[in-house]
Amino acid sequence: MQRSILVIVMLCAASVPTDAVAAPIEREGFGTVVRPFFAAHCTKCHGEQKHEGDLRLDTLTVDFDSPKAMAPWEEIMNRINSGDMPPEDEPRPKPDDVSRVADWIVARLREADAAQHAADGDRVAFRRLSRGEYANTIRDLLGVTFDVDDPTGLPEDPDWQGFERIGSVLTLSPAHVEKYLAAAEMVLDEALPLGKQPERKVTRWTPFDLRSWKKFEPEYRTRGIADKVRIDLVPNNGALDTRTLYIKTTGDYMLRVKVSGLRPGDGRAPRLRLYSGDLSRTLLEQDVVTPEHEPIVIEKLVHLPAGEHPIRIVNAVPGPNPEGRRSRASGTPNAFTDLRTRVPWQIKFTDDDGKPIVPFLLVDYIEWDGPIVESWPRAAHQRIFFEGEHGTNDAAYAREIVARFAQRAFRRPVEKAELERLVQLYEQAQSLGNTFEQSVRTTLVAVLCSKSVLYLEEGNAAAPSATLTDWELASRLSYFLWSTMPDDRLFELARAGKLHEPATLRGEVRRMLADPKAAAFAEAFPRQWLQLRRVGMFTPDKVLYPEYDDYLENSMIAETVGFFGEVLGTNASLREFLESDWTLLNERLADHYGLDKASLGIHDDTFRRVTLSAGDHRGGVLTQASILSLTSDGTRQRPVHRGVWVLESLLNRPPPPPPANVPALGTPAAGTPKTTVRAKLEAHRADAQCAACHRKIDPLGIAFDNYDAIGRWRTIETVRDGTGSDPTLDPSGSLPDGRHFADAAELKRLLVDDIDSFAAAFTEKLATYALRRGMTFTDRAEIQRIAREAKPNDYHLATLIERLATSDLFQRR
Amino acid sequence: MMRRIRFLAVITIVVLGWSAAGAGEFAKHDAVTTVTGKLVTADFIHRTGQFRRDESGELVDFVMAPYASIKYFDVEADLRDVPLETSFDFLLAHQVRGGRGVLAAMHERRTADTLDPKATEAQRERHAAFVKFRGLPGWIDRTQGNELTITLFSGEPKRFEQAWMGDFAVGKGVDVVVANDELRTWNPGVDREKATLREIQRVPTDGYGTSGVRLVVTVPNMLEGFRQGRVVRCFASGWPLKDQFYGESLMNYGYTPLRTPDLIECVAKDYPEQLPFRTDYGNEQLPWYKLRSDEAPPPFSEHLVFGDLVSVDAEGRTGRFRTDRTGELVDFTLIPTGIVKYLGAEASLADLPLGMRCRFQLYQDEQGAFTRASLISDEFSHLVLNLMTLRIDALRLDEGKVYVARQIPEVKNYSADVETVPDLGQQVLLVSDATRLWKGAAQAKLADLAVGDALLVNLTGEQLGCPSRAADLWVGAESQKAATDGQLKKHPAAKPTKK
Repeated sequence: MQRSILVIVMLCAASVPTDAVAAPIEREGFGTVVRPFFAAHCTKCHGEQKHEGDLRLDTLTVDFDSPKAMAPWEEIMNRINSGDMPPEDEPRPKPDDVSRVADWIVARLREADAAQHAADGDRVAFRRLSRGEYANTIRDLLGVTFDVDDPTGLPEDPDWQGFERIGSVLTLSPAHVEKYLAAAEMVLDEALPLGKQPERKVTRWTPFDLRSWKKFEPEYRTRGIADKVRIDLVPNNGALDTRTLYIKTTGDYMLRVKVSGLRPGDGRAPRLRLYSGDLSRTLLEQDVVTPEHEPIVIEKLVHLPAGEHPIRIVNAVPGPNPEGRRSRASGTPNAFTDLRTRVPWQIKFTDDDGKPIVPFLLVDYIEWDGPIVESWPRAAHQRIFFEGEHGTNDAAYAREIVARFAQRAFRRPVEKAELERLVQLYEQAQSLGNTFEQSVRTTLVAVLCSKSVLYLEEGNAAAPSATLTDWELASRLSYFLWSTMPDDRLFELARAGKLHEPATLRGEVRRMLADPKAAAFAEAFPRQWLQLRRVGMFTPDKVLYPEYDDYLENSMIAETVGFFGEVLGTNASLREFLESDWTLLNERLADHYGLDKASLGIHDDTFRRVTLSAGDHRGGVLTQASILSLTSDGTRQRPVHRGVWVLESLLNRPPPPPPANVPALGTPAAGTPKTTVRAKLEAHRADAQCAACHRKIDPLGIAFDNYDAIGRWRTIETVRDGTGSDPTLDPSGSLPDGRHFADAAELKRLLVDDIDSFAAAFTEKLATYALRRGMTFTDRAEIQRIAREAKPNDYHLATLIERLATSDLFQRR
Repeated sequence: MMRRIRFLAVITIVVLGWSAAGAGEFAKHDAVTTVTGKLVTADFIHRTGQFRRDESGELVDFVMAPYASIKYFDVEADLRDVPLETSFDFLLAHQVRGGRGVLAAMHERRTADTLDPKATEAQRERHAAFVKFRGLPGWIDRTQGNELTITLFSGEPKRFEQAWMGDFAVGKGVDVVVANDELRTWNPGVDREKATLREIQRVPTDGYGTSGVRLVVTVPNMLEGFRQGRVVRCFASGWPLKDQFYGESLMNYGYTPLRTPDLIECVAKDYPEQLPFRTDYGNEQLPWYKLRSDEAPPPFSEHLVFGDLVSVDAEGRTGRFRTDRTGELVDFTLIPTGIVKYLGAEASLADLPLGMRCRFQLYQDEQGAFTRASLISDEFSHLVLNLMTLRIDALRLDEGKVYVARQIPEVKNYSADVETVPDLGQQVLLVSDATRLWKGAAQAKLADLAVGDALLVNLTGEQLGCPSRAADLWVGAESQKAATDGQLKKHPAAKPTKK
């Protein structure tokens, strides 16, 4: 019954009003670029006299809010681009003219698309929290962890141009409603538990437990060496070592592992990973390098839901591990106690001198210590039931509890009617015989499922305003920089109506950037801006790239994210993103880049800032393995993808989409010499229709041909088909404006020379993230002003963020 | 005058005057002691046995070195092929293992004029089939990266190339399977490494057991058993690689663990580092296990001694026995957790007939003498524990000899088919008029014995000039059950020995 009521509340929340207002149309260039082209090549058949295919170009309109009006433009662009139009028996337009028309149309289509995703004309804008933001909000509201990525969490959010927080695409389905309801009940169960404090206890998995050696344990005790028994993990042991963890009470647990890890001389370090299969979650992952008889204890706080969790204990490094060679027991009581006690048919760990030849782990025990609660009753309980154990537990007290909680949860004052509806729920629960606490809890579930929690609401239908209220500004700021709800100080400033004041706002932005919670921005923004979600989307071929694994993939992403954080933390210039003499590396990535770890001071999986030299062929994001990998297809580098990515992500000038009938790059005929991808692309570009766009795209990608599909440096391209030796790479090229570059380093220099364009593009990306909507024509002047004002300061990142957050644009609805 | 036993193996070492030699080395031709005698016991699985010296009648225990070979009818043979009481020159290397002399080779004493070409050829073919089924043994001289250098074993180096190397060719595959010093493998169908033969080398044949041929192979995976001095078996391309017979494999058999304790992989022998004390199998540098008053001692911590019972004080749980061969008198005390086994059931010391040969699992007392017993068991109980019976293969009652083979019941193989297990060993039992025979529910005469009968036995002690004899023989399951039931009736709370 109560659940049904809540579902209805939720569905109402999903039906948010939309009242879009058309944006102004920018037609600059139409008269000089498009109309003459139409007149010369099109209107003869698609004009006043003839409307072949029911199409008239002389009366076509541009209306960003009308998909119907914009649809013909896309069709026109595709036909012109592909060479379908004009027909073969008509004079051919010049490729440059085709390109200019295509660019003009693409710009208009983008405007229309952005307008669709802006909806800044709505009287009230509703933008749903991303699932990460929802989890952070729950953490700050109730002090408990909601494992949003777990199967019991929330569905993955869709993205628009890489951004996963755009209001118009973050819709709410009935499945979401059920998930939010389950989530609310789950987090309140943990935050406001009924009954006695759960007993904290330690569950220790000994080697006897982990390897089904329990039957041997008494014998080892009498031998006097039970404490010396360990489990030995061969590389790549997969799901061999799995044990089920039984968790009675959802909560935080301290995971402890006592372990040694031995690495072969110059090989990979063994890597311990504990993975929960049912949660699809890695609970712990790190390299372990310590002598056999000097184990370390690793600790990690993990949040675990009640239930059974099969835990895989993995040595996550590649290595020989065929069936029958693993560290299973031989059937006799010879549990591992020493490297000399291994069974002869198992994979060999050490050479005859006792030195490791494969990376292996020796685990002494695994402990699960918890649930750990900071106080009892829990902090959230104390805050919510603020009168403590002496509370009156009557309707008035319940009303006050709900009012206080809802105000924090809604991130604004609660309206009387809203409060009344919630109190009615409390009364209904009371009438069904629920206790006071249960009734309040039911009401809080409704609060957590309401639209004012799940959505960022901006605007008031009754009192339209062009600017945000201070409450709205507090939320916009906190979800921009912290990806979570405002803290008490922001609420206080909003309540006092002072937050929008320039000096106050500037001070708050600085405070927020200095707060540890700003790590959420430093993590989320680069992932979305640079589309890092695509890393590993096309899993690199296991035969061509056997060394590629999760660790490398995660390291690639971590470098780029960490690089952004470093630029932000040091308030460095945006130019660092294009060209830098430093980066962040761990051992895995340093090996991957072929750099000398010792001279760089890198010896484990911790990321450290290192200084690069020209010979290292790295610096800036463009030559980071994450970017080079996400623009490849798993088998080879894709120069076109790389070029498109540069145009989209760095320059904010996406090229027209390819026509539908583009043939794939051909395989050379038998007996012909091996050729580079570049040579094949040049053959492809021989078609004048293709050349117009590819002239702009390809150089930006070919410049990075020295980096293979997983971002390794090379000078020779490995080619499978063809005869003769593998060809030498040529990364040189020219930009459409004629500027020449010899390689990636020179291209990066050219991009730095044009830093203003990059800064404007970056500012627009930043604004898209901050405002959770596409930027439109009306926003552009303000964006350019923000970027321009940051120029004298050499586009320092933190300063630019501050300028954006204190701008009119940011405070505008 | 009674003396206290220290460690019997030491006595054996002194008698033979041996010293330890390096592992992974063949015994040189000039570094063995030749002893002439007749084979009286053979354990096919562990490659151990006993022979009685012609010169003195002394019983000598031996263990075959991994490379040790047997020549019978002038060609290579296995212990299985050799009839008991065949006369051999036993070539003992200057080594001791587990209290036994290490045998480098044993050559049948046969003059050329008694050789039968047909018998020789038959033996040659039998041995070839034996080797092809189990793989050519050898040991690893060197490892480098994924490369192994293996010297193959052979008792006939002159014939080795002709006999075997036609099957091995550079560039072809070789399955390499890890083995222990008894040449037993674990689970060859799974354990094998599919190696590639890179080179065939010739090496001097200046020691017993070397074939003069070395294989250099590369393997996909380096295994722990691929270490210098470790034994492997090599299967040429095309040789069958099948599950080995029950007991010859160190792993399970037919998806179930081996049920015969004597055949299970011996931790003390194969993984001495697992035991933080000295054992009968090794760890000579460590002290023996010290008894604790509150718990039963762990397996392999005992020192095993055989001897015949001289006297007992059942109430005091003490007694005296005379050690086999050396005749020392030992006063023993059962430890609190110590037990006695007789006729396949738990027993009291009072149940044990005086003069019966028992196995004593002993621990040191405060003075370091082995007088504390954790187990005293008769041969009957030990055979029952291992599911074994002794099948009569031949009778020479006029000479007081019964030739028996060790056998266990049928087992299920990996296809769940019931199959007969090949004999595990053989031995000569000496009988006399004093030997009592139990058949069915009643006592019988030795003349009632017949080839094919399945026996259980208890023995007398072994002393120089007075060899161990069968004191009691039980023929058939009925008499054996009756014996156990009778013992159980004496102690209703006692348990029969687990089968």
